[in-house]
Amino acid sequence: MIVFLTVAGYLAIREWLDRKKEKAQDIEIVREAEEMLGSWANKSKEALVQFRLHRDGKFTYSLVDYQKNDTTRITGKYEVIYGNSTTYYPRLIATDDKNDTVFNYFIAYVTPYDAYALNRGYDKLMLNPNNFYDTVSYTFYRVK
Amino acid sequence: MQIRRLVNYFLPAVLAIWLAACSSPANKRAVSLDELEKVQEEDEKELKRFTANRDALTALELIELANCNDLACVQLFMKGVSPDFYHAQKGEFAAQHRSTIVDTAGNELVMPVSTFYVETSPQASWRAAHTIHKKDQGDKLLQEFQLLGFKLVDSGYYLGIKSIQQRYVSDKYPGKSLYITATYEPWYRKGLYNRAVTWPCYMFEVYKD
Repeated sequence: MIVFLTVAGYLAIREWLDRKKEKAQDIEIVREAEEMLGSWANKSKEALVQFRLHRDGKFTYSLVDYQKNDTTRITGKYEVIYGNSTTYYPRLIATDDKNDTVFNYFIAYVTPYDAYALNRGYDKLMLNPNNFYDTVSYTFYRVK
Repeated sequence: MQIRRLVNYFLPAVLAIWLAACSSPANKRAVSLDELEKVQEEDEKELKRFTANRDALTALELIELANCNDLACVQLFMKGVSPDFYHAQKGEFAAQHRSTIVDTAGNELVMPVSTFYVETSPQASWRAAHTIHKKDQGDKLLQEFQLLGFKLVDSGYYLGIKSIQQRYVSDKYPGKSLYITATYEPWYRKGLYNRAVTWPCYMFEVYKD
């Protein structure tokens, strides 16, 4: 009972503090089983793609096109669909405020919360246009 | 007594929770936008070490593999072509990179473009075959052999499999023969070919005469 109360108390206080910190700093504090939340980006010579999966289901996206010197910003909502079969990757579907699809990708990989071995590395999110293993994927990195 | 308990246990516990709650390992693993390009480059460089660059063995490699009479020799040779090929099971090597292969019914199957299998069943005679699952890759390998002087000499049922094989020899490599087969039965119930094979396989086998 004491152990249960201690753990429950710890988790409750931690969550309360996380939410306070999130509100104050306008970021997502990522915990177990919510590794997908937060800001992700990929930068190349041509463009910077950045998006944020908010805790409340809000989706913000920005594309900086260095060649055209232009920035596109999209705000909408997102959903992660797990499906019934374990043979399929979960799917990330994001739509803009007009309900047009911005993202419809399979989530091939996301760095697990407790990846202690990767502590010196960076969190990665890999999105695949199809469900085939080992094919084209877009890699995004967690950004501050 | 109660106060001492509070000081000894409760306060340190609250402090520990406070400290632990303020750090999330996932958030610590975030990169700043300025460093992003550098991190991506390093990551790609690291991945390149494990990425396959080709889908099939070369003609010269197959000629060299013909000198092997046992699995240990093949394993040693295939170690040198890693990470393009990996050892899947005993006597079964496959290209690491996977591609879409279209079978005769038009289904898209995701699998390696080529495999290199050797016979490991007890009392079976030695057989080592490079099986390619795409016609263009097979044609390319045949061209490589032709450039090395291999010419068609005969065709027939040579190695005890159900399909007709074409035999090629080259003056540059005396004592070695190349056997090519287009078949749907490359191996009897082995590895990738355990179930019905619905896609055409092009087999390349080089042996010492």
